[in-house]
Amino acid sequence: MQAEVNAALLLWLPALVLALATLNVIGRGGRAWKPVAVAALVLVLLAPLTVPSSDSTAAVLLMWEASIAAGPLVLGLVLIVFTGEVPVGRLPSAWRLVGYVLVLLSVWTLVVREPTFASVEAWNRFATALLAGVVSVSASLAVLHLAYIPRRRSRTSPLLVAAVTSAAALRVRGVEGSLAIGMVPELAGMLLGACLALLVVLAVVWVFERRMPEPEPLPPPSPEALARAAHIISMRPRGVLADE
Amino acid sequence: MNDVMRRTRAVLLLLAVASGPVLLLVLADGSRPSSDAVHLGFANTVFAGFMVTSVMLILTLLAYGDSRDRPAAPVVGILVLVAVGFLLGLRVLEAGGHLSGNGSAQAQFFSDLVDIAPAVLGLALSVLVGLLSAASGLRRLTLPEADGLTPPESIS
Repeated sequence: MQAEVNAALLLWLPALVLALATLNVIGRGGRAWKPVAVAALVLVLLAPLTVPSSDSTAAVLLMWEASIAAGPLVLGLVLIVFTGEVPVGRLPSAWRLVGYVLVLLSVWTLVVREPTFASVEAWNRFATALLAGVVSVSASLAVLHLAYIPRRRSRTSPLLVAAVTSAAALRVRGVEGSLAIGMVPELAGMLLGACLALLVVLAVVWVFERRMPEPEPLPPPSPEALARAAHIISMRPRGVLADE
Repeated sequence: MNDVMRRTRAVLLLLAVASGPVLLLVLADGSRPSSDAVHLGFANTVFAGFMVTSVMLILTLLAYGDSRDRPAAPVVGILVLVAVGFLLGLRVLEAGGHLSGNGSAQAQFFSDLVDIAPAVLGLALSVLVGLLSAASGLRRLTLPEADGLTPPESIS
């Protein structure tokens, strides 16, 4: 019983608080949510040291393992992005090489390295899903740029490189049959369940929106309000959309 | 844009989305699970996906009811989600799924979540990697080009 209480207090409760605090940090929550989010994240990450081993702590160990590959990958890509002619947050161009090295290091980690903390099965699932996901997302974005956004046609090469590199990494790494054949339907099932819940909630919102009364007509604007509006319009800069 | 061109673009986009799963199935090597096991995994994750998303959407419904002055919306939403979840759970049980290898429904539910967590984590990260790759292609854009705007002629 003590183990369950420990897990509830030191892992599941902080995980719930972390979700709530993150929503508040992203949204319009007060400043106090930031330290709460950080404290909850620290408690969740330390769970394998504070809570007896279980499926839940295995998930946290996977996060440790994933961060070894994901940290350099995300940092490397951020360095590559921000060493260009970006309007904000520009970095010295020397950092671009560091970015490429970090990305290559993380690809090597995903393809060759054996897991230290997480189980081999969980690590294989993570790495396979990540590489296959990058193939799908990058290919989709490349097609979107090529087919739907003419002014971005010349910008698709990094997306194609990402898709081809991930596919090659997946080929070199190898895909275990039992893992792949099981994972694809599982992810499809997860997506289907999520879409079903979304559909139910959309139906509820639609019913309530349909029953919303028509808004009452506004009174006609006063001459002062019209004059003020005309003044504001005359002060606007005349920008012209290039695509129109 | 004519219909043929529009359809071709849509098919290309669908193929691109499906490229990851298709690649996995093509590269799969070695032993393969039985169709019963695949069916079981699918049924269990439909239920797990529905439950996890429902919890998040109930929070959204609470915010919706508050902002649109419709206090009954979250209550109705929860009732409908519980009813659909109950029917879905029954259907999964009928399909011989939910309690495979676990003593209770809760244990199976958390086991499903932990099983699928690595793949979900990997997919979430892949979206971030894809977006950053797209951003690295845009890094030479000047600000007006990025916004699709030409500079204003004059500011009066």
